[in-house]
Amino acid sequence: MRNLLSAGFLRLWRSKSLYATLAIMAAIGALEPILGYSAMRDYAAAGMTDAVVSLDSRYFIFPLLSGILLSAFCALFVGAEYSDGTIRNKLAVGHSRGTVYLSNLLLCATAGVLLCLAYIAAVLAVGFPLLGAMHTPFPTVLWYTFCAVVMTSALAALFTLIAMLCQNRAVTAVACITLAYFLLFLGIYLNSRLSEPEMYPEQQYVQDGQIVTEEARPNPNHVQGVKRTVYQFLYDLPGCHVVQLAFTADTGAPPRLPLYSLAVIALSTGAGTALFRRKDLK
Amino acid sequence: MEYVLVTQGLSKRYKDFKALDNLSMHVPKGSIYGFVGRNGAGKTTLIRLICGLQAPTSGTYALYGADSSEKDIAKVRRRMGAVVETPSIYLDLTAEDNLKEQFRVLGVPSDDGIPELLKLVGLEDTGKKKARNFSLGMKQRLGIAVALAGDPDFLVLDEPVNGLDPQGIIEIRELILKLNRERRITVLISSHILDELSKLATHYGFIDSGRMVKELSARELENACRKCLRVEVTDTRALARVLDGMGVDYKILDDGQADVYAQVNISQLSRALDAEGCELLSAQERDESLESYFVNLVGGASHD
Amino acid sequence: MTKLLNANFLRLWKNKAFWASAAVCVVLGALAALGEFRFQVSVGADLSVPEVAQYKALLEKQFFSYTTVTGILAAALVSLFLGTEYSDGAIRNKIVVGHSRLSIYFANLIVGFAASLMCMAGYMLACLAVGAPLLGWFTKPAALLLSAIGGSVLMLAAFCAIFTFVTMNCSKKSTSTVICLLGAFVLLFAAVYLNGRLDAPEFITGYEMSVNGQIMDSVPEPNPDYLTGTKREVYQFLYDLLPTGQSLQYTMLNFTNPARLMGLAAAVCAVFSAAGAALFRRKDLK
Repeated sequence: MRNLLSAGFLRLWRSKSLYATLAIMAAIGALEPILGYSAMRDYAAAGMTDAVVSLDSRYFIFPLLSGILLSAFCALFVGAEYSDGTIRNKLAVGHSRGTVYLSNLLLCATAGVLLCLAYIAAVLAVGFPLLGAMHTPFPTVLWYTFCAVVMTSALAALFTLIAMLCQNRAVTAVACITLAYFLLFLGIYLNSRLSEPEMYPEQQYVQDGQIVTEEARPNPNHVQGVKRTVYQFLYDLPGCHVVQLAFTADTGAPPRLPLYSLAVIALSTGAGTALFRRKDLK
Repeated sequence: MEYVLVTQGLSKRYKDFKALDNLSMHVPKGSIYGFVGRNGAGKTTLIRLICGLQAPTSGTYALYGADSSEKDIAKVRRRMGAVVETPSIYLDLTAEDNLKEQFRVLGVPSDDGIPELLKLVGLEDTGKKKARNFSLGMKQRLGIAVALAGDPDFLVLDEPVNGLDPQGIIEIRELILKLNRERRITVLISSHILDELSKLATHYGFIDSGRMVKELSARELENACRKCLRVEVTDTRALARVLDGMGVDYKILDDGQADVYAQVNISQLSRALDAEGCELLSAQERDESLESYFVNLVGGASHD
Repeated sequence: MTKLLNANFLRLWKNKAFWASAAVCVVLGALAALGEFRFQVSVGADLSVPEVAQYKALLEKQFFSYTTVTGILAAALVSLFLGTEYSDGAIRNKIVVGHSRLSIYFANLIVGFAASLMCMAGYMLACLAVGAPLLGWFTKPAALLLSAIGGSVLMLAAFCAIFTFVTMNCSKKSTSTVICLLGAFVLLFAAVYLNGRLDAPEFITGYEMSVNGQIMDSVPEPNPDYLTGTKREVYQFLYDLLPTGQSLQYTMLNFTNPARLMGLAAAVCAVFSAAGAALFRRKDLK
C-alpha cells in the first residue's frame, strides 16, 4: 500500500489535470472577493453605504465548486490507469486489488482536499484586504470547512467507484461530471420542495382602499409523510447536502451531515472494492 | 526506374527535436521496400508525413509523381493504403462493420468485396465479435484489411509484425508477398526486425537519427554482405599458403579455423590442402548477416 | 464529402452513445410532461377547464425545456462520437486515402449536429405525445412557438460548432469530453447569472404602514443591482450571444427579437467552425 501511495503521489504531483483544476479553484477564489468588492462600490455609489458584502458569503462557496472540478479530475486521473494500461503493472507485481482501489481513493480524496485549500487560500488572500475579516465565529467556520471537506471526500469516493469500475476513460468522465451536477441540482430541487411551508400564513392586503384579510390555509405543495422522509434522506446525502451546508453556514451545519458523508465513503468503498475484485481487466 | 514515392530533403521538427533531417528516399514501383531503423530513428514520422497526417517542416515528397505541395496529392492518396503504428479501427465495431465504414469513406458502391477481403486476411470467421475483443494479431490484420479496402497500388505498413506470434508473422509475410506478386502492389514496410525483412524486401533504406544512411536493392545488399566459407582444418599455415596461391581473401580465426571470402571449389581446395599435408575437417557457408551490416552502417554513421 | 457523411452516418446508427442519448431525451421529455401533470393534480388544478389550461400554458412550459437539456447532451454526444476517431485512430484512414481535412471537419460537424438534432426531436416528440393529452395543446401564438423552435435549431448548431471545435482539435477523447461537459455547464451557469442580473427590477417598492394604520406602497427606490448603460448592453449582448443564454430565453419563451438571436447563433456557428477547421488543417496528427 505504501509503495502504491508513493508511486501514486509521484504521479499526482505531475498531473496536469490536478494543476488545471487547482488553478481554476484558485482563480475563482480570487475573483469572488473582487466581484464582491466591485458590487460594494456600486452600492456605495448608489448611496447605500450600509450595504456590505461580507467575506463569509464568498468563502462558503467552495464546496459547490470542489465537487464538480473533482469529478473531472478523478475521471481523468484514475481513468488514465485504464487507458494507459498501467493498472496492470500494479496487479502484475502482486498488489492486491483492494490496495490498488484504496490507494486511488486516497489520491482522489487528497486532490479533493487540495482543491478546497486552493480556493480557501485564494479567497482569504484576496478577500481579507478587500472585504475585511469574516463575521462568522471562527469555530463555526472551522466546522463548516470540516463538513465541506468530508463531503468532498465522499464525492471522491463516489467518483473513484465509477472510475475504477468503468474501463472507458471518456465514459467515466461523462458519468462523473453528470453525477456531480445531478447531485447539485437535486440538492437545489429538494431544498425548494422541503422548504415549502405547511400553511400559507394569514395575509393582509389592500384592495380598493380596504384591508382584506385572507385566512391561513394549507399549502398543497408542502411535502409530507413518507415522501418527506425520503426527500429529507436524499437531501442529507453528500453532493445534495452542499445546499444545506450553504444555508446553515453561519449557524453550523447539523452533525449528521459529515456522518452521512462518512457512511457514503464506507459503503461505496466496500461495494467498489468488492466489485473491482471480481472485475475482468484487460 | 519509375518511383512510387520520392522524398527530397524532407525534415520534420517537433519543438527542439529533429525527427527527420533532410531525408531523401526512393521507393521503386513494384518493390517491397524495407525501411530499416532503430526505435525512434524517424520511421513512423516519415510515414505520418507521406500519409498526410503531418506537414513537413521543410522539403517535399512526391507520390506517383504528384508533388506534396500540389493539390493533386489528395487524389493520388486514393491509390494508397496505410497502417500507421497501431491499427486504425473502431474498437466497438465488428470486422465487417469496420470494412463497411471504410468502404463508405472511399465511396465504394457495394459491400460485395468485404467477404473476400476478410478471407484474404483470415478474419472471415469473426462474426459479431467486436474488434475490442480481438487478439493483437487479429487487430493488425483487420488494420491491413482496412488499408486494402480501397484496392491500393501502394501499401504502407508501419511495423506490421510487431507483437505477433511466429505463425502470425508468417501469415503477414505470405500476405504481403501475395499482394506484391499477384496484385502488383508496391509495399513500404518499416521494421526493426531485420531477419524478417530480409525474407521479403527487394529494396532497403536504412535510416538513423532522421537521416537516410543508405539506400540499396536487395541484390546490392547481398553483394555488400560478403559471403564467406568457414573452414576447419588441421593446419592453418598450410591453408594460408594454399589460399594465397588461389588468390582469394581470407581471415585466420584461430589455430584450426578460417573464413574464406570467395566461392571456392571444395574438391579443389581439399586436394590442394591434401598436397600440403593438411586435412579439411569441415566447411560451412555463412552470411555476414543483415544485422551486422546494419550495425556497421548505423554504428559508423552515428559517430560522425 | 458525401462519402464521409455516408460513413459517419453508418457509424452513428451503430453508436451506443447516440442511442443512449436519444433514449435519455425521450425519457426526459416524457417525464417533463408527466411531472407537470402530476404537480398540477397535486395542487388541485382542474386542467379540464380550458381557461385554466390556457392561462397556465403548461405544454409550452415543459415543451421548451428541451433547449436547456440538449446543449448539455450535445456536449457528451459530440465529444464521445467524434473523439472516438482519435482514440481508435480511424481519422487516419480518412486522411490516408486523400480526403481533405476540411471535408473531414465539416462531415464530422454535420453528423454531430444531426445526431444532436435527432435527440432534440426525440425530447420534443415525447413531451408532445405525453403532454398534449394531459396538459392540453399549445395556447401561445404559433409565430412565437415557431420562431422559438427555429431559433433553438440554430442554437443547437452553435453548441455543436463549439463542441466540434474542441473535439477535433484535441487528440485525447477523455480530455475533450471533460472540456465540453464542464464548458457546457459553465456556460449554463453564466447564462443563469446574466439572466439574474438582467432581471433585477429598476425600482424596489416596499410596503409602509402609515400613521393612521393604513398600508401604503412606499415610494419606489432605485435598485442598486439594476444594470444601466453600457454594462446592461454588454450583459444583454452576452446573454443573447451565449447558446446557453438563448436556451434560457427559449425555455421561458421570453425573447423579444428572435432574428437577433438567430443571427448571433449563426455567427457563433460560423466563427467556431471557421476557426476550428483552420486549426484542424494545421494540426499534426499521429
